[in-house]
Amino acid sequence: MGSGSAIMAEVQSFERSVRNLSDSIGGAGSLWRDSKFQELGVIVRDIAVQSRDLMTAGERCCTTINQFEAIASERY
Amino acid sequence: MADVTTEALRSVKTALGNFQTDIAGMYARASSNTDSVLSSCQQSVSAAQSDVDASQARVQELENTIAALEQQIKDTSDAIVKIREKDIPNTDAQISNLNSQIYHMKEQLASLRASLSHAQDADAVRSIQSSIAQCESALSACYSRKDNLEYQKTELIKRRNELEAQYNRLRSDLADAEYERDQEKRRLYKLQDKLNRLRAAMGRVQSDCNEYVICSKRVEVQSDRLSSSGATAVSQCLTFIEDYLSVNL
Repeated sequence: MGSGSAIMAEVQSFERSVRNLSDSIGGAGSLWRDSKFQELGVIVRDIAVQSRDLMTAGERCCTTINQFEAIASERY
Repeated sequence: MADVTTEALRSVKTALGNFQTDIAGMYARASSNTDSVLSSCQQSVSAAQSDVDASQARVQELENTIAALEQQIKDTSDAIVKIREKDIPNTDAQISNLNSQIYHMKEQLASLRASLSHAQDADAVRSIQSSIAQCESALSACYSRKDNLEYQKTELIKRRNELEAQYNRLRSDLADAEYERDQEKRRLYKLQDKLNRLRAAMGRVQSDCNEYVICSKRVEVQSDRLSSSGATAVSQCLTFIEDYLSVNL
């Protein structure tokens, strides 16, 4: 079931992107402290919450698909 | 310090750009991927249903075979019992009766021959000779009937042996069919259990895929919701950075 792998790949790619974004924002945070950064931080935090929900849902989806595949592969 | 700050901001800008690229089309990809998954799952459920149907048909086929074998076994057994308990005893009784007749005819023939040796006149001789001829003819007929009956008995025994061999083959075939039916029934139980678990798992996959698609859509539209100007949130962030860089550079 290649599409299950595609979902996992999509989630993993998204997770890397979120981590890169988080690392970059965090790295800049120590040097960039004005109100613009505060605004950016608020927006990114909101996006991060949605991203966490997406990754959780995606991983749960892949787990469920794997469980389905395990049953489907049973041979009698 | 200014260079480090600029480098950090460029890094944020790049990360935001990458993130924006990842978000673009995420909902469409999630929908496409989950549609493909659900289609594949449905095919697996259909295949499992086909396996159950085929197994049920095989069980029914074996039940029919078993019923036919049981009827053949009963017919064969009845035929064996008939030969053993009716046909052969009847034939033996007829042979015994003929043996008795032959014994008496031989005695009668011996008596007639003794009488013939003591006969005084020609009429008496002719009469006795005629009786001897009739007795010999009847005796010959009895021997002939006895030969026929003994041949019939041999054929009955041969037929009984054939039927007994057939009976044993049918019993063996029945045992094989019953064993195969029991095996297939156990397989059918497992296939039905698999189908039920697949259907339940399919429901969970549908639910989780739906949730994943909803989350993908939320992430994709999040930027629009947060942006009062209609631009995406990430674009808004990029604008902040561009503004900041243009001022500081």
